[in-house]
Amino acid sequence: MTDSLTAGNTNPWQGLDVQSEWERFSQRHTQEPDIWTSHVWVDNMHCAACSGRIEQSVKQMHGVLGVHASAASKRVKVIWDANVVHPSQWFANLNAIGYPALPVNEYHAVTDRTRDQRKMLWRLVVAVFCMMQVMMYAYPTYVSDSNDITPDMIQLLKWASWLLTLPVMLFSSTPFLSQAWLSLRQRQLGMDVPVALGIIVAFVISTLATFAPGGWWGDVTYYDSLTMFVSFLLCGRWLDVKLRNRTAGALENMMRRLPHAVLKKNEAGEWVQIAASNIDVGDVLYVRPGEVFAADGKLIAGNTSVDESMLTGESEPVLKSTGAQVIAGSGNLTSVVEMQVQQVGEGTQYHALVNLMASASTEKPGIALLADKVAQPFLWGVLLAALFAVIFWWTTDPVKAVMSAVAVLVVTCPCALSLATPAAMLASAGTFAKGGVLIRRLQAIQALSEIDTIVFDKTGTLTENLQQVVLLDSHPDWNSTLLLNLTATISRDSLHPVAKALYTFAKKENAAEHLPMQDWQEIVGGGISATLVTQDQQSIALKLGNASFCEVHTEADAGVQRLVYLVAGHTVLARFGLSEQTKPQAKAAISQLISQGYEIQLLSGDRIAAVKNLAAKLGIQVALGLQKAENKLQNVKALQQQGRKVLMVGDGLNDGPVIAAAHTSIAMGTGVPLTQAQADMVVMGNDIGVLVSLISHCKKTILIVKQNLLWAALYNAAGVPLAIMGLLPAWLAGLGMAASSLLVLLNALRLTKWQKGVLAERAKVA
Amino acid sequence: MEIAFLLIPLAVMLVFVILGGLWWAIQTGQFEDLEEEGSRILEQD
Repeated sequence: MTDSLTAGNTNPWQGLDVQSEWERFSQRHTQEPDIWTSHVWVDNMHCAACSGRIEQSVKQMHGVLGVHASAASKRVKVIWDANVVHPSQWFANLNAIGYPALPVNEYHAVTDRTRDQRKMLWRLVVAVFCMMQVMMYAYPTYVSDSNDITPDMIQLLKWASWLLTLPVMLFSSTPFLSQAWLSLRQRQLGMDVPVALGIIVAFVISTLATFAPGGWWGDVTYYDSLTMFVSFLLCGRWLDVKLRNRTAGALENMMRRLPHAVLKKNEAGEWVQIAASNIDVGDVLYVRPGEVFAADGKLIAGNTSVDESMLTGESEPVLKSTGAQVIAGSGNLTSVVEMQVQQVGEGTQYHALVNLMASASTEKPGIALLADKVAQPFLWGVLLAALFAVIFWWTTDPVKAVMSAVAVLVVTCPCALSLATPAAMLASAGTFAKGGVLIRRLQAIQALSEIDTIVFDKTGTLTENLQQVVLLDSHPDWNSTLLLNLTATISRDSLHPVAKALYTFAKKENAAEHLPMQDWQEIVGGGISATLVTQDQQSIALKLGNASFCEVHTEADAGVQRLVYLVAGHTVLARFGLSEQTKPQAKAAISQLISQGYEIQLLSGDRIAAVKNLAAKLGIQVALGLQKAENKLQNVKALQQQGRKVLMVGDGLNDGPVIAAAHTSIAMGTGVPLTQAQADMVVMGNDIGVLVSLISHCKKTILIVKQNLLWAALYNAAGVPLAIMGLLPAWLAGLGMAASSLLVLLNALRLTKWQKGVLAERAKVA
Repeated sequence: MEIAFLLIPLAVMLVFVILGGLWWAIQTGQFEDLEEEGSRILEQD
């Protein structure tokens, strides 16, 4: 405990120890002003054992009053006393036990969403519970003869039902009533208007029948129809809210890219920790390997390799020497550098990309609006039909007139439009979510069923970001186990992706990593040099790196993307080839899609040769390399002008604008959260094979939506005339509505079975 | 059947009592994380 408390100047979280900083992810205790509740996100907390370890370790700290770690949501709640302990101390503690944490900045957004979801559930619970009770009171009047129950008893049942309908009316149905009021104020006819009208009229008529029976409104109540109707509608709303929250929550769980605190040089030339929000243009920042650049600027001291894959989507690290430009959001890989800030916040390239995506997304054709447009005439029709019923019957029988109108409103509204489509789509979306596919817009299901062209990004989508290593050849005089041991030892401490890949490769071959070595040094853009001390105290100078660093001749293309040499003096001991690995399911998935008649294209920012190579391997006809975000966007737009419906499957941030412009889009889960926020669907796993079954399931969903709509149309075509003619009492209309809804829901439930992956799909074909 | 005149109002009151219980359950987040609570018993305290 004390170690982490005295972490002192080296504690990278010190920037959080200012109240304005910790307020962003903490909440003050209502009574005790010094007690705070903070929420942090721990990426690698996977199981109950992890959360137990976290709780145990942090709870021991002085000043920490409570800890609750949830492995399911990857969040840790810490209650602490600001007089005794600071956030940086328990952040350091979490880091020390192997669980680096990030503040959950959207803490307040999370609570807002939780509140919304709770409220919706509460509305639903109230409606369903009261509905069940009202049904129970309505049942006797349906089954008994008029002589079986005394009028007193009937009156009592009515009063009880009224009392139980009151919460449904005043609380549960407010979303519909307020939505209807809102759309009326905007002079539009929303889906909620007939719903609200039906609810209000039924309630008013029933209330009059309860307390002043005998007027023109008669003495029949419709509380059961009303409550059941509201319950069904709320059920759909609640599922919708829940699904949206789950999707948003999962996206939020992705890493925040930019750091919260940075080291800045002050006037005295000392490094001080400041919050990232306080960086100004001209500041000199100290950036260690493994950290992310917080702003755009140029390097003024040091050389390093930079990982810009988050911004370019490609895995190859970029070499930057003093004077080179670095961009916010890219990662410093190899050595300590100093940078001078030139752009912060909104001015950075990172933000420019984000904004570009936002503007591209506004160009998107709104299928949602289209659905509303189709709904408009229908809704007018319903209202006119109701009005017609009132006028038609008013002179002969006012009760019949009003109740026919209510019957029209009740018999039509929910199933046809409010339920048929979302029920099927939600069923599918839920199924997808369970299978690791998140859907941001329900319309994406329809869009995905319509596509005829699929554009793939390469890295991270069709290939693994990890580089695949092969040992090409080794020196005949040297034992290959020894060579692997050397490789493992020398590459162990490097952060460079190539060294990491070599290390992983050697470890997989059971190499040892503890040979005696001295003078370990990493040269940026070259490789690693070290001296091996043999048992008889001889020193051998070793180098691991590229051809020029190892002073060997550059070779012609050996069929790999990159060659790495291990040399002793001038003798080449081993040659390693590195290449991107194609995802295991990629070939099967692509050939399936081609056989189903989809046009496949590959657009990548990588070198042309590498792209062509991969395309040939996967059987893709059209493949273009060296594609920047703008080129990809142009390509997709050109395809769209040919009348094609394009699905974009991407990964990196540079796909963002394309993803937003395409007919629909899928992001593979290893990409950045921003891209995912733009993509219509997010595949959480790494499995490209999901794509085939995903598309076919979307087609099936649309088929079921169509079935539902057809059924609803037939039902309405039969129900509305009956209701207008007054042959349909409101309770029967309610029952018909319920049965019809139930049928629609049951039909939608067929969508909850989804066989994931290309294999399942193949089995079906065979 | 006169007992129904007592039982029905009682049932109505019972509904409100039960709804109160459900309100508590929802507001304290009892329905928020249905999977994790089952596994918490396996954790060490």
